[in-house]
Amino acid sequence: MNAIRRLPARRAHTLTPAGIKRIVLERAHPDGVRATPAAANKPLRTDGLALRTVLAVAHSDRGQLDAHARQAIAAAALLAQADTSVHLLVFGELDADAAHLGVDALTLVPSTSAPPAYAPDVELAILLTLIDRIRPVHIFLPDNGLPDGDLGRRLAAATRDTVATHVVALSHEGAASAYAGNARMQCRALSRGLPRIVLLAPDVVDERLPFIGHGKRAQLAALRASSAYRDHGTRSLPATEVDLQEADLIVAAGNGVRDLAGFQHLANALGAAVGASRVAVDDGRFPRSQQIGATGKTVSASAYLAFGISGAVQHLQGIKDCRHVIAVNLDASAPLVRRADLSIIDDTQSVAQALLAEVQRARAAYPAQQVNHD
Amino acid sequence: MIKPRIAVLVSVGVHPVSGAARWSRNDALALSLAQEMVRGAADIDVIHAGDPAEPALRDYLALGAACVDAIEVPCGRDVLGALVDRVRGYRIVLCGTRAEGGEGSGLLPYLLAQAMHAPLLPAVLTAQLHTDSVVTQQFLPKGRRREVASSLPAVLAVHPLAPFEARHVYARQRAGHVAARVARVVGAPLAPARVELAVVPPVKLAARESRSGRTRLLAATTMQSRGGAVITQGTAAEKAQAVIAYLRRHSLIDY
Repeated sequence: MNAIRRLPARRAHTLTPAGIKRIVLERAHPDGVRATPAAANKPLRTDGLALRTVLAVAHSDRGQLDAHARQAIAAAALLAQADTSVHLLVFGELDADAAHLGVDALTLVPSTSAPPAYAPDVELAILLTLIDRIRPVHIFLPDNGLPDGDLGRRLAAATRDTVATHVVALSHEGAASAYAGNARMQCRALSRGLPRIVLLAPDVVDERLPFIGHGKRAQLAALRASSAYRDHGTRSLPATEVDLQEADLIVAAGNGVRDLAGFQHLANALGAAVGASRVAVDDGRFPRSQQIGATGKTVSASAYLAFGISGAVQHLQGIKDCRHVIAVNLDASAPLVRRADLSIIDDTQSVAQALLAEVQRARAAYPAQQVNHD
Repeated sequence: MIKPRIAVLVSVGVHPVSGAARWSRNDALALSLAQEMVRGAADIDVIHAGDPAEPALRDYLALGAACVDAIEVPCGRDVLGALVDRVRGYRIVLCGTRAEGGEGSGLLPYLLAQAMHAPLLPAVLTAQLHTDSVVTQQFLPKGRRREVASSLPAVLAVHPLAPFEARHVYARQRAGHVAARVARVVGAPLAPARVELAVVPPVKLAARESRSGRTRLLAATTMQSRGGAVITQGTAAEKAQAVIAYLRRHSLIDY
């Protein structure tokens, strides 16, 4: 006879928001059925009184923030103390929920034209007004050339605050910048204390946050000040001239695509760059330079249309930065269907033909609409 | 017509393999763009602030500069004041986006434009000069190009992907000369930056992991659905319309 009292290993338990297992003592179930887990909702980062503010600044593209901008916001949220509120200033629209970005207060500055005209001096005036109002301790921006890297450097030149650019590592104590020195010896320049303006290099911060912010929205009226710059418009290069990694719209073919000529027609009609999965490349239907995935290229298109691609892990790695993924596949249980924002379960050839007809019809109708508007 | 005064700011670069001092690629792009803009109709003044005895400055003579104007600024002093004083009166000042030596923060064009009270045009690929304005083509990611114009004087920061064909002529390197000048403005001493060798890769800033082992295992081994719409019913034409509607709703196509 065993005198030691044993507890069943699979006793009923709940998970706390922090992910810690808590055994439910009151109704210990003999089968070890798990009690209803605590709500998977993330807790608020802080509900204390905000004494200070940190500011993150980003530009949105068609209502969305890219990963680099989200990383800058995450840096602000992760480094904020309990008595610090995270403020976000977005130039453009924002569809995403600001609270899930870890933002306590959001200020939107809608653009007056689409695509937004280049007016960094007007944006700088808006930013300086906001800084004057909320007095942030630190200002975080993604160092992405145009538009945020440009705006951050203009801010640094205007205010002459301490600034760190190309920041590759940061903490409460300071920031380390990639130091443009000898290529053989990678060096870092370290600053004493975190500078007021921090321009972050890509992939320096993990954007996944275990908390949410308050997410209060406020809208600023677009300033109609005159700019010293005259924007004569933006044009896009043809998809064939653009590198696959740079392309904004990609149609990709996998093993399910047999009608290559029809597929090429569709890509031309959409004005999209052509990619392929490893199987299609190995079969010799596409050159190696068009392969997308772990052994091929990593793409960051806004829209990625995959025809007949099941979505192996290696392929999904290559499209992890794509914003909208549309899958056309016969198999509804393919891994890509789980990743995709829209999945069409059908034969790829018939859908490609129908889509080609639709695109041609829409393009033919578009000039007529334009005339009606004028 | 009065000849426009154009200045190109050059710095000492670093060879990508050997690490030896040489011409800076970004600044050579600025020199090449300046030559393209004036096509021999005006003189281009090539200006450097730093050590006039630096042999790497002669590389700019080989790349097409008639003379390099080197302002003597001692090591560890700010070059901004000397440069602002030197480029006063110029209509166009061109420079690269980021220096290869020094701090390399890419801030100098911005500080210079601020001090000159002139507009700054960043990420320039090509530029046309008119009598009282400059029209530049700006590099944007995802294969987009933007045309931006501004009044003169202006500072142009040339994008690293601007068209460039290095034409290194040894005879020009021998014939040209580097003119040393004494700085009229003494720059403030720079704050000493602590530079150390990056022996370990930078640590990514991340929230503390507090998930249970089982959750982490599940996250690593299974892929959760992102909750996208799945369309199985309907004809091919209806499904194609659904794709077009999705693309329109997210402004991914403009027709």
